[in-house]
Amino acid sequence: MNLFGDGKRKAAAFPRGVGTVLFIVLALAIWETVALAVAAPYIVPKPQDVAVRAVELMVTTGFWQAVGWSLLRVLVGFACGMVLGVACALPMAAWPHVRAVFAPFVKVMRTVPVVCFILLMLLWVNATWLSAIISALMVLPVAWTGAIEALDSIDRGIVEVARVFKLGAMRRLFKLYLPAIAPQLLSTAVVGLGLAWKSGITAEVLALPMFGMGSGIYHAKIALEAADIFVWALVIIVISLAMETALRACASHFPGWETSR
Amino acid sequence: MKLAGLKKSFDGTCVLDGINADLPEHGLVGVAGVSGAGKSTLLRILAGLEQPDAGRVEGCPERVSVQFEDDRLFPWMDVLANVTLVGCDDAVAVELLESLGLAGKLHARVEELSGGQRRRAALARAFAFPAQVALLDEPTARLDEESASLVLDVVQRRCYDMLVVAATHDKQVIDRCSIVLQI
Repeated sequence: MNLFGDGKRKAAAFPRGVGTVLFIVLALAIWETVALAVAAPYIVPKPQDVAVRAVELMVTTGFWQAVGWSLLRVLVGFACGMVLGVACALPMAAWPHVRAVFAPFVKVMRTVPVVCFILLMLLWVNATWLSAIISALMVLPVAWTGAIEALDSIDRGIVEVARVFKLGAMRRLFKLYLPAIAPQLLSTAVVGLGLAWKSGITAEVLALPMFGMGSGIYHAKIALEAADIFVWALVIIVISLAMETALRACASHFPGWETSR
Repeated sequence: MKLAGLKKSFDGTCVLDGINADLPEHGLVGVAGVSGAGKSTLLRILAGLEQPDAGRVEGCPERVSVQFEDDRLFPWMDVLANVTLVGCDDAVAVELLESLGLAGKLHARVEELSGGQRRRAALARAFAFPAQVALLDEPTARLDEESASLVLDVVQRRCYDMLVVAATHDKQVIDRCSIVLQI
């Protein structure tokens, strides 16, 4: 029982977007207060100083190169992790023996701390693409878990239709099973995208590729430029939220619509 | 096709108790009985979706088509794509849908269809699949009298070259059957 009544009604108390604006105002007020209390801009810079620094950084080529490269690596890693996760889930869902053998590998991957993967991978791969590989490795078990749960819950009716009409494996997969699990996969993708960003940027901080937001954060830390760290963090938050919003928008439009035209 | 002593129980409740019948190669065969008598279960056994506890189906062809009681149309495809899913040409699917009064709904979403239109789209899919036997579970359910008559005309035309087995309560269907299995 909800002690505070209907949650939906409570959420609708503010017009759309007002809650977000209030949150931003509150966060800025707390940030400003803490910055004034600490009175050390190299530890906690004021919001207005960060805004000025953001504008200074945004007019440099290096800033956009870092954003572009990080975005590319995270997206490549995320896409590879999702595709590999679903591809691993398909045979595991179809054949219990395959699942029994390979499921522990995926479970182990899920429990290993990301920093272990990063340090190990640093020995093996080039720093330029390390964060993409780390993002993929972090997304893979999430995608696998989401896909296998979705495949396990596929309606028996769909399987029977495929069986009665003797649909081939590819037709079953692309016409029935994948569209049927697409809404659940998109929800998984939203979680995976957040993970890809966190792990990818962490990998950049440790691997220090030539261009990357993680490298920017590391160099700012070495130079005690707290304002730069805040700028990079804010850029990461904005891009991550924008991509998550786009994915959620896709998810809200499912079931998808295939026309025969 | 011969049904020999088919028996089926679910959780100790006997649903089919020794069904015997000889079915012709073509024609319309009705399976009649009260709700819960096992009509759908019999169709599921004929489709190979359920195994009988005892007895057997002899001479069952490899390709058997089904119109499921709950339609099982997919919301991520339009009506035409739902029918061509079974591997037929667009032209065949269009002709079937037109003959069932769905000419204007070829590219409609499944959720835009009424219950009766869904029923007819599911029937079109069943007939679009090249099979020697079609199993129809309540083919006239949710149809008005005019639509039911249209559907039965199409069913009867198909009966010249295939066996159609229809589980039904509808007297209109029973009247058109050459054989009725009362279970």
